[in-house]
Amino acid sequence: MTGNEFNGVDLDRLADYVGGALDGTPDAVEIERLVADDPDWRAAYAALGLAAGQVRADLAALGAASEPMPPDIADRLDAALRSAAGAPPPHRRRAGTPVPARGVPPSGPARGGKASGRPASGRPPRRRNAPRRWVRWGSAAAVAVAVLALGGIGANVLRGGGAGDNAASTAGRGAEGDQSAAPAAGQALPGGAQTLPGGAQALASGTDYRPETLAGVVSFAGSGATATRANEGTRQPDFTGPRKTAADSSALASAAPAELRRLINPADQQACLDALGAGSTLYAGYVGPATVQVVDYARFKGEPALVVYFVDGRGVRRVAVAGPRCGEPSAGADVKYATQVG
Amino acid sequence: MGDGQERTDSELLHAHVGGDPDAFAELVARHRDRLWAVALRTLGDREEAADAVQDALLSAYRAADRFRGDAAVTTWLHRIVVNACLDRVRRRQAHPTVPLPDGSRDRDAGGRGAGIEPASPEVDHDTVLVVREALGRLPAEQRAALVLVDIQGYSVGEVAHILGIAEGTVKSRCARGRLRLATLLGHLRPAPAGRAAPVNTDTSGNPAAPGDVPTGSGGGQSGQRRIL
Repeated sequence: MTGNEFNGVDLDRLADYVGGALDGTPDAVEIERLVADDPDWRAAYAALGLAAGQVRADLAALGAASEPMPPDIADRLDAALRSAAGAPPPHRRRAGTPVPARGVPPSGPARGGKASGRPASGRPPRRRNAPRRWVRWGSAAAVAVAVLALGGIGANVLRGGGAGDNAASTAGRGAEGDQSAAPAAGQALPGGAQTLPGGAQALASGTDYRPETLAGVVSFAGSGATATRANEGTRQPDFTGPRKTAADSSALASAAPAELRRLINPADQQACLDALGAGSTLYAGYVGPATVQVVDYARFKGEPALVVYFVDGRGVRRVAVAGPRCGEPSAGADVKYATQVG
Repeated sequence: MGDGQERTDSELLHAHVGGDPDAFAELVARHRDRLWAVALRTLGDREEAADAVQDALLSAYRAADRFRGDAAVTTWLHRIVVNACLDRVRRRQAHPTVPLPDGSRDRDAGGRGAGIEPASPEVDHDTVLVVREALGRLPAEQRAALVLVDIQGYSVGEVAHILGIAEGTVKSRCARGRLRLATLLGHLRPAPAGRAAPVNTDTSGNPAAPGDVPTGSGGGQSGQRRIL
């Protein structure tokens, strides 16, 4: 408080008194006495009263302004809740009862795909130890699987890549922590996906992302953030991402939107990631270094876009969506969208 | 959502715990605008508010079985949302934030800096913006209390439940928050000569919350009305 005009008056204390916070206390009696006897306190009391009237009027004006949840945020929230609805609340899971037996019908975007893509399906009783093992083989593929399953795109990608249920079942086993089910580094996945040394993954899922589907990943890939924090081995000194081999580049190129093929070139991809990193001050609360988990050569709102999932230095999972010009000197990162997803 | 007779909040929550896949969404649909307004006004940032509401409601979804019914469901939901907001404020204080470069932000903010976002454009006049900016400069706890009491219109008792603090603490946070706002907005000036003590100057049409009305602490100030 400035309160310079009110010599010797403890304005916070006076405010407490005026606000009723001191009712029934000896302090209230003391301040009443001060206000009655001391001209400075009396003046401050009068000024506070006038000011309070104006403040309350100001706040009332704010309160009068309608503030409905914007439709895009409502959609995003609905998507997140639908995703959550696909898995039972924790108390039910702790009970060890399989989801279908509890009469919780699957719902939400993930159900649009194959049921086998849901980690919750057919969960074996060894689940208690699963998260630790899931962590060990790296969260990147797990996130990728979550991305694939979200919005029913899993089946499309898998069919497109010709591997069908094979990868979906891999997703299920991965979520269960079956380390043996995890794709090894360098092993090709459908849709041109590649699990890379360090756990990051590049793929062309064919997905047309929306803000709400990007955000929905968080609830679907719940333990991923912990997994990533534990996976110190993948942390890079800067905003660096997957390194592809020549072998997988052709698979990616065939599956990626044509406008993004430039970004499959390792130098161009790195330039893009560097540009995203250089723009890291644009991400609210971002703290480096970032660790890229998934790079998806996909679409965003119908337009070709590089969708980059990464975890920042605080373990906060984020996603940045870059346009085809990402990394070009004149375009910077060409960011179309960015948000936290966890 | 919700065919037939409308269920109470409590019934919806119990139905959710019992496995009704639509109950929680119905509950959320019923309250989300108010929860959103609280989050937006507490955080002053659209994306942060969206994330806070989403995190909070997902937490509520998962923790519904722990709701004991000692407060209204809506109070419980508000409490979770406000706590999520305050957590974010604390994190933001540790790691200063700037706006996200998403399209909606650009569209909404029109180049305005980080901090308080515009509300409905039709009421977006200068005074409201200035007040919103000033509100964003209050300590988070004071801001949350003022948002709930003076803007959202909850009683001090309800807010005490929501924030999990004593009513006297709510009153103090509100009073000190109003004092800070008065200073920031330039309202706190020596009263005109001859104005020995405040009378009812509350012309806002927003009556004092019940808990803020003095209970008559006696002395020579009888007849004065506390309005801060």
